[in-house]
Amino acid sequence: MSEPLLLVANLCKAFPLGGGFFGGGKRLLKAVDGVDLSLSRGETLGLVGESGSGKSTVGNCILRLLDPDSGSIAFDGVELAELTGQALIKARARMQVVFQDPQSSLDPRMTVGGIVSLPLRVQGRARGRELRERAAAALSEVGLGPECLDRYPHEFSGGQRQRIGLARALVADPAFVVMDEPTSALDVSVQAQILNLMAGLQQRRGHAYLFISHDLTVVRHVSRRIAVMYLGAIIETAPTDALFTHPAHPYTRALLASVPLPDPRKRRNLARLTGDVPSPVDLPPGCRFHPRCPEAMAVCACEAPPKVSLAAGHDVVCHLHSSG
Amino acid sequence: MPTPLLHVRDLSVSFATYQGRAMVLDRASLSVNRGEIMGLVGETGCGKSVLSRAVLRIIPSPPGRIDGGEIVFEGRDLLTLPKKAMRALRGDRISMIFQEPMSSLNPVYTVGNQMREVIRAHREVSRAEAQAVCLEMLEAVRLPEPGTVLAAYPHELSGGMRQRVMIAMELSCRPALLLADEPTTALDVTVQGQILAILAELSAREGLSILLVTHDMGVVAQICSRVAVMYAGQVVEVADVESLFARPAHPYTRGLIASIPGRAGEGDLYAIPGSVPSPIDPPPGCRFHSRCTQSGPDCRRAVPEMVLVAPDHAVACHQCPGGGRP
Ligand SMILES: Nc1ncnc2c1ncn2[C@@H]1O[C@H](COP(=O)(O)OP(=O)(O)OP(=O)(O)O)[C@@H](O)[C@H]1O
Ligand SMILES: Nc1ncnc2c1ncn2[C@@H]1O[C@H](COP(=O)(O)OP(=O)(O)OP(=O)(O)O)[C@@H](O)[C@H]1O
Ligand code: SF4
Ligand code: SF4
Ligand SMILES: [Mg+2]
Ligand SMILES: [Mg+2]
Repeated sequence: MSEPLLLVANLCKAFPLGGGFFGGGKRLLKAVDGVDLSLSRGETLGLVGESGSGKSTVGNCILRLLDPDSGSIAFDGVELAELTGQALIKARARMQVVFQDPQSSLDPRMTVGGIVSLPLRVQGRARGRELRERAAAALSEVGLGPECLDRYPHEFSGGQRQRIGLARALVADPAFVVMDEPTSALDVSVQAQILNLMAGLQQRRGHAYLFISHDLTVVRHVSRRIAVMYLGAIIETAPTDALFTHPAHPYTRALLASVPLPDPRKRRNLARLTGDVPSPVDLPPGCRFHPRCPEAMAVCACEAPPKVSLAAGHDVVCHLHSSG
Repeated sequence: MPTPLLHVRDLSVSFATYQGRAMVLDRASLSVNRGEIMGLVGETGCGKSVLSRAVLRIIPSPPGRIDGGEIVFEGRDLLTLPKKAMRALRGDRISMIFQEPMSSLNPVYTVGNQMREVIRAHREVSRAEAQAVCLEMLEAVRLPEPGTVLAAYPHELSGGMRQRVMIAMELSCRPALLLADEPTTALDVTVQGQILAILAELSAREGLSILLVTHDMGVVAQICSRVAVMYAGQVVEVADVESLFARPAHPYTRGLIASIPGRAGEGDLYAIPGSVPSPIDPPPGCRFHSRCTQSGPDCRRAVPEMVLVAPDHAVACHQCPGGGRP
């Protein structure tokens, strides 16, 4: 196997909670708590988990939109976690992001041409006519004509705005794109257009995607491998087929079983778990899933489970699978 | 065939906007039978919420206006009912829950206060009797420690708990019909599973009828018995859920089902070309014609009527040969 494009090790990010201004008794919300992941060139890794599990925080730390507290982020052999200033801007030039909400992630006062060419301007890689030409080329790759250059985001539908977001991400020819719920705000028929577009771009350009979503059906469709997050930690990583055929972690199993399948002949009990996700402020001791786990054992309440490798590329963090 | 509990017939609704009048519902028809969960699906802006709100007559007017049709519930046309009778019906025979429960819960009163108030608005019961109903309802929606929940303020509860409180409150007068507008869209999938299971159980056990508005075809497949599909303000297909997934007849429904990831396996998804037309000055004839791969000359001229293509399966499409009006 070739060296991965992105290697994240033991990434941690906590947010201080309000009221800690005068020091003393400051409480921390552990949004990301020791995350490891790797991504090869041209590959899509899906990152799934419920709301608040830390998916966006992982993506934002990798992009250095947030400063991680600790851990390492090696991108194409360069350690990003400690870079600052010009060195960071340079390293970041090959990473891009597409957000969920095309409404709020596109500046309403800028023309589409200005929005799409912004990454090139920030990096000083093009000027004048060339900016416009490259923006037009990027728009054409996402199926929008050059007449869009001088229009404003509000003149476009949700699906078209997400195309503009994609054009902005690919204009600077990145090696890696964080897709943070890129289709969650879209209807299925529009979602299908965007997912097809993303797959085509990846094939032509060889982008690697970190595809963040809470929608398992979408993640399954786009990803070669999937990492499942729960309360700030990745609890299982597996090749897509293995995850769906042999989910090993009780949370993964419950998550898969809760998805309403679009097939009335396959009805099932969707109430697989009781209770809600606990707060990441007071993490349960031992296994963070134990208060809701249908298979919890005595050891789960006191000892953190180890990471166990079940097969090539299939890792799970659970006492059920630790031998001895 | 049994008479339906609710029958919406040829309902048209429009809104005044700065760009002109938006024809948001165009002769939409559907029915909900006793004890069934009827799904109402379609893309954003197609009119699902407007239709369900029209049943309770809670469309803001102006700008909204009901231009025609009837809404027959338990034998009476709700559109001609005096305001007072309509108020008595709301929360009693017909209830409604929304995507965001906070929009119907008052943040400054405890859950118990609000639930008791709803009950005593419709029933002459003592405080203690109301309290007993509250506890019973909270248990029915599987809330642990119902006593604690009654004493809590809405913000002290999680999203999933709030939605359960909403359901308990809206069902406390044992309505015949629950209008549920995307009740699980804001929830995580494991919590959504719990809420859907509760709705299915209440319907099966208590004979509650539910009009379930959703854009998630998975939710429809899992808990609905029949489905109505809307496109741009028109109801284009109504069928039992098995037929709809196995034999979708309307070209839009076929596209909708084909674009769900994970049904056809790998490779490109089917994507319906183009986008939804504006409700202001909508296209004449079938509103889907600009995107339809099967459209013919008739499609631009005349709005297709609903016809039966099988028992309990009605479609509004010029290319679907049918036998008579449903
Ligand atoms: N800037 C911030 N300040 C304080 N807390 C934050 C901040 N950003 C995120 N959090 C908290 O960190 C946790 C993880 O949030 P994150 O946005 O990464 O979750 P997510 O998995 O992306 O969820 P969603 O599916 O809702 O987008 C949450 O509890 C969130 O409230
Ligand atoms: N108060 C209003 N004023 C003007 N237009 C309105 C108003 N309420 C709804 N509409 C319009 O009516 C149409 C139908 O809206 P509705 O909320 O019923 O859609 P929906 O199918 O529920 O969509 P979603 O899935 O996004 O909830 C939309 O075009 C909307 O813009
Ligand atoms: S470690 Fe224990 S509590 Fe955690 S998932 Fe495994 S069995 Fe459940
Ligand atoms: S009526 Fe015509 S345009 Fe409309 S769905 Fe049928 S074939 Fe297509
Ligand atoms: Mg997020
Ligand atoms: Mg709606």
